[in-house]
Amino acid sequence: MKMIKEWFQKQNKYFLVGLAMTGLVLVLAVLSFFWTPYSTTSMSTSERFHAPSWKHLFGTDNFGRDIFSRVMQGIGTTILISSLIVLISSGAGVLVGAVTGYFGGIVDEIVMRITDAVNGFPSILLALVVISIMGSGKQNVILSLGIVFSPSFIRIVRSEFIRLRDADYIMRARLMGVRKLRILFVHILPNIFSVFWVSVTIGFNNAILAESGMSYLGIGVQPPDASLGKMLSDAQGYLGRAPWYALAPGLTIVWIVLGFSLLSEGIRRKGEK
Amino acid sequence: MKYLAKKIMTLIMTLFLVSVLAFFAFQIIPGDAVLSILGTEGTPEREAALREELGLNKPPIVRYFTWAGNVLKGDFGRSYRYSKNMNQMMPVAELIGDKLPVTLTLAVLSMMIIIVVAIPLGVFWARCKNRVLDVTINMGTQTAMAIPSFFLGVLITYLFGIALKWFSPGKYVSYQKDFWGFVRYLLFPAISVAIPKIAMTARFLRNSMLTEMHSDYVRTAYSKGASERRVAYGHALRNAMMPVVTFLGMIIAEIVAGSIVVEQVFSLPGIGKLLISSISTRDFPVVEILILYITFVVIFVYFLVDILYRVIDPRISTK
Amino acid sequence: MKKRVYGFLLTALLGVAALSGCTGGKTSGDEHSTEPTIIESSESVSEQETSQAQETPEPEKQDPRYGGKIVVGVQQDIDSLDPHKATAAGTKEILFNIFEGLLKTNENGKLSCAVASKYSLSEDGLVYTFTLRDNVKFHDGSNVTAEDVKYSLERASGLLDGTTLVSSLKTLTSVEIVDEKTVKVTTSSANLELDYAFTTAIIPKGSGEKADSTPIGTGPFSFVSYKPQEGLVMAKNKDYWQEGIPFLDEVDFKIITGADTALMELKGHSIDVYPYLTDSQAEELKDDYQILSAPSAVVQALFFNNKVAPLNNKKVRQAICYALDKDLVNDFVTGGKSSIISSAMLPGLRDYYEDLNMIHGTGANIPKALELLTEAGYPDGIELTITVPSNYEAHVQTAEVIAEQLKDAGIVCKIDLVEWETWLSDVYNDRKYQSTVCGITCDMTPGHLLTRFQSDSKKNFVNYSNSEFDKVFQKAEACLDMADKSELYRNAQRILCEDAASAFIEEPPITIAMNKQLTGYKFYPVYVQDMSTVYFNR
Repeated sequence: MKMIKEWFQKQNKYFLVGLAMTGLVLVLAVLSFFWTPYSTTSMSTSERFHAPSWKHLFGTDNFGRDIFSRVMQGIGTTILISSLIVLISSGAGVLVGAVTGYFGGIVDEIVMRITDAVNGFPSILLALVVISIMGSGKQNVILSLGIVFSPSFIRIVRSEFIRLRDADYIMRARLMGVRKLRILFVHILPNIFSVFWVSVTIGFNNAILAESGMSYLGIGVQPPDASLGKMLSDAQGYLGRAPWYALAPGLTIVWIVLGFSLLSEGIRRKGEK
Repeated sequence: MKYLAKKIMTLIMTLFLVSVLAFFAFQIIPGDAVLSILGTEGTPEREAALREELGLNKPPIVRYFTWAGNVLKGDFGRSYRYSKNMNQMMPVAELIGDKLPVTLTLAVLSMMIIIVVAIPLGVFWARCKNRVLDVTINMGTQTAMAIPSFFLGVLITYLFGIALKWFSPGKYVSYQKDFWGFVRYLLFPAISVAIPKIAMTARFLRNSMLTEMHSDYVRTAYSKGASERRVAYGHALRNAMMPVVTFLGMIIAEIVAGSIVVEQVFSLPGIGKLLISSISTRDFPVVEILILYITFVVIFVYFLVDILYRVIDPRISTK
Repeated sequence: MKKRVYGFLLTALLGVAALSGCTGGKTSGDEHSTEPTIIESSESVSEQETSQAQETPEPEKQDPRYGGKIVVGVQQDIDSLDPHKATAAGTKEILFNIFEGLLKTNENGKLSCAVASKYSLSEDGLVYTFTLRDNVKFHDGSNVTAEDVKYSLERASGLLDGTTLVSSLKTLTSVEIVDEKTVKVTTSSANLELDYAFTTAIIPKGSGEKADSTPIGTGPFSFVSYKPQEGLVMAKNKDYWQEGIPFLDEVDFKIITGADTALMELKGHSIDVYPYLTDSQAEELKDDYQILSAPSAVVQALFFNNKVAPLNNKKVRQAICYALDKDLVNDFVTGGKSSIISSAMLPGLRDYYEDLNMIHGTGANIPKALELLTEAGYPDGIELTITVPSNYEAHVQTAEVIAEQLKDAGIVCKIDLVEWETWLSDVYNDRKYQSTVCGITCDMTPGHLLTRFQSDSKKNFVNYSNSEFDKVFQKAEACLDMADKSELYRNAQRILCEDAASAFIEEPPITIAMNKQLTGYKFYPVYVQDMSTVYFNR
């Protein structure tokens, strides 16, 4: 117990606050898959537009549904989707970036041209194009944003691999006859971790914002599944009557992203000491 | 000169590649343009006639080159969906030309706000010795970056539009009718766009500045007796600006391509909204041109940034 | 709320002698039948129409003030500026102000004369003779001539170049100019409801082929400009043939595709009229705006794609109809103000409407639904995808309520929101969907609501095919006797209901938020936004 207390006191504030915020989010996210205070979809004419109270922490919406439960489900959905997006895009980034960065050549040129062109596009637009081809819904959101975010990861990984390719210890490994694949993944990869991690955290935040943006526009997760972006777009029509309906999902998104950012900053500062 | 030529070649090549990709991507998207246009009043004869008229009965490769040829001549084709009058469909050039000024003005306004606020903020923060202030700005910028633009838009609309009544949501004034009214209306959407980006830019600049402030030449300047202020503004800032310029370039590209969400929240008839609806309606002529436009803007901006780099620091090789 | 009174008119005048005339709108006390061929010869029609326009304002208000501009919010972008080619109701409701036909629907659902001053039908019901009204001008200043009328009708019916643009006119066989004020139209089969087809727009001769023709019609407003995704602006037609109207100088139909955006704009006072409020929105706006409502003449339903499993199984369809809680939908989405229906007919069309609500009930009959599903071979329930156009808030909310409520019967719903354009192309045209929530309208012809359920109808987006229904409907269409026709239409409705062609829900009210300073808005039983009688009362 004492050790834990000491450990806490040693950490910097950003880390602690970030940890607390993110921790709460993760707990709610995981919990939402098993239990929510009320059903996220059952409607009730008598419970419509109730302001936040002990009974309904975030109040109820125009269908009488409990907003807190829906927000919980929304958090779960958002975290799940964003994690998968980051997984896909960073995975693609490592695979493609490592290979093209290390080997170079024409393939590298072509890949760079394509990623350059794709990079400038606002992510939502590109995802929209992909969704038009494949239809909307959870899986397609994950897939499309995963594809859309890959170029940035590819670039970063690639530039790191280029940078390290000519480092002394790598040259020595080559001279020693270590197989290329091993060099790539055992020697170089672990060394790009700090840069990579930064991109992952930025990517995660962007994924959250992009996913909610898409749901807001109506091309993301479909009702009656709760998604924070969609809730916000639905809530706009009732701002005067039930402002909590819009504030709840909006502030939740801010909380998630902020928490994660602070946590990352906290970790970074720990590394600096 | 050779550098310039090479860059232009790259621009053209990328445009070509993107246009081909976009064109063929839309061949695989389900949805028949002819059927959407004619709807339920279509008969086999009308469909065949329309197909002929739009040239849709030729193989894709032929169609691509016809289209590309037209574009080079300046003919951007006509929309499949929007009518200009009873018998003509709206020319894409006109459709986009109408909406472009909105998006561009929004972009310019946003950039102005970002530059005017973020740069002083970034420098101030870098020089700031007060711990409380430091943490406040840190938290403030972190929070600003965490707010989704649509939420910000909704909050601003509600606060300034409905509660304070500083502007009328939806009372978009066309730039053709009243230019300054137009600019005034765009102010609030521009602020929505600018806020998160101000935060990002300020943070970036601050980090950049701090790195510079710890470098050798700065120490030399100090040892020569320069004041901290002079060091900051005179020496460090110029060098710190370089990565910031790249960053700003990325932002411009993104805004000019169209801030879809903000346009939606404030009902601005800009490019973003047009792109979404034309993709949904499979309005290929419009989509193609818009994609080309966005690609062009992005590459062009990066190109400008490149040049700016060389101007600021001639040491950078042109390789 | 406006009351439209439909009663039975003396059938003595039916389909016997030569009938002529135009039903001028009378004082609201009269009984009118939906029967369009009733004689009501009126002398100075324009006088009556003006008196009708002046009846609408409340007696206490002062004299109407001429002038002013308003902004009207609409939910859909225009699909065409050509009145003969426009198919979407959302387009037609706007173009109603710019174009007129020989006849025009008035707010009672009757036909009144517009470009024509009177007309008559031959004994065999095959030849219409129209007399043109004097000094009706097109918006470009030229007079409307018999040539223009001939051109317009030929173009719309397909006589001009073989392609029929307005399907209700496809039975026309010839259009002859008798003299400069008279046009004779011959059809291949008699149809009591064909009169309504003559509301098709009259346009200047040749304007349909000229490359850059601005939309030019004879209506109370003339076309000024159209910007895609923004709106259509129209201005007062100073030479409008009807005296005294329109009052407003300019009307801007602004396109607002999101219900939430509409609400913000209403709160920001940047639009004056918005005709598609949901109940909650009306609640929110009632302090700032006048809220008016009337039956919308829209049949809203959960439409089934009868060709797609498991909906191709009649028992499954019936099960859904039993399980559907229409009262709940009514409560949530329209505050209880809708009329519940069970087939494709409007309660307001009293001559033809058959109340079939007792067949499936208006609440949820879960046990019966479960029983039917088991009989159909789905004891564990089914999955249902509901595709909804995202810009129609009412339909979206209805789908959400349905999805939640059908769970009790083991029917698991997935909602698919699509853009309006995508809905039109994928659902309505290509019929690539399983079920959808939307509304269908008719132009005062009850047949229009039922015609699309014929096996070979091009508008049969529900893929319903029942030869018995086809027979009954075709018999009804050709029928010249009112009573028989009515009975046959009732049969047709019964078939649709028992066969569960779709799960019909309700006729929602149309609720409008209107600037408190405006008066004179008239509700129509058809999908139109008539701005000619609206004015500022201060």
